[in-house]
Amino acid sequence: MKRLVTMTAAAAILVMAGSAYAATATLNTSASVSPLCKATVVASIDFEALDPFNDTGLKDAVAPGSVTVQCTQGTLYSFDYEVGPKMTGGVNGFLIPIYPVAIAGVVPGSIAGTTYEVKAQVNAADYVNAPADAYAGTYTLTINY
Amino acid sequence: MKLRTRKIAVILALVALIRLPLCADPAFAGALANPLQISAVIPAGSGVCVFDTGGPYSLNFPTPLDPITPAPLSTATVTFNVTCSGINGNEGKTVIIDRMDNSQLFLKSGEDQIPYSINLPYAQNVKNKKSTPVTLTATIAGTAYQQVPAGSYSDAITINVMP
Repeated sequence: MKRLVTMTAAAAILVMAGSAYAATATLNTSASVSPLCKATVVASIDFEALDPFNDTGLKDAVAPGSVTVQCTQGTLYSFDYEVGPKMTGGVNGFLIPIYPVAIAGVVPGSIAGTTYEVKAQVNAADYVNAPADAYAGTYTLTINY
Repeated sequence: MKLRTRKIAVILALVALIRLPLCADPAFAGALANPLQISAVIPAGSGVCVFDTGGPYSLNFPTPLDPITPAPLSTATVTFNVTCSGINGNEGKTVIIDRMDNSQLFLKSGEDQIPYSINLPYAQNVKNKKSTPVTLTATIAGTAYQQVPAGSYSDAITINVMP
């Protein structure tokens, strides 16, 4: 009988050592994922040869440009188009205005990215008096997200 | 003759009363030794630890995660102090900080989840009644958050310090 009492006491103390002595605390963890977008130019816009004598009205670029947009998954975005971009003659400095064409079919962002065709036009009336030259310029496409 | 017998009996009784508290009788020594061993050994092996402040503690990834150009591994740390008592010896004792659960941890934002890890269980040497800093590090692999939408993600876990 005395031995039984002693063993019961030992078991009770061992249980206390395994659980009651462990202190607990809460650890809150947090992180944020940024809504980001990144654009990469894949191809430039090329009008190739313009013909001041025969061209009329608006003329599309022969080779439209393209841009790939990567965004945080599901990010919604839209495009803003530069107002009044121009190409400049390399020798004579003559300016030919560019008319951006809105991009259609914009889809929510993804990390894999979506490639869009970037179209632009020139107006024959703007270069009817342009001297023969090589013209170049930049056109800024802004992504809002 | 009758008188002498009574005297001896009285003397024997006196001797027995004096020896009982000293446990000199072999028949009683074994019975008392067991409870003495229990009370001496178990408290020395356990100790008690507490978090110096009750928490909750915050483990925040300081820089927003960039899913387009993710770092291979993003890390965040938190440091808190624990104090243990009942620890014997100058060399102290190794205590374990753990969450008592080996399941994958997730930062959550609604239905979206980012798996992450914390270096638990964590072993820390402590000395008796000396506040000891514990630094935990959480990590997120760059591939873990590339397919989740932007937002704030969070989680709460319970950690234990066990002497």
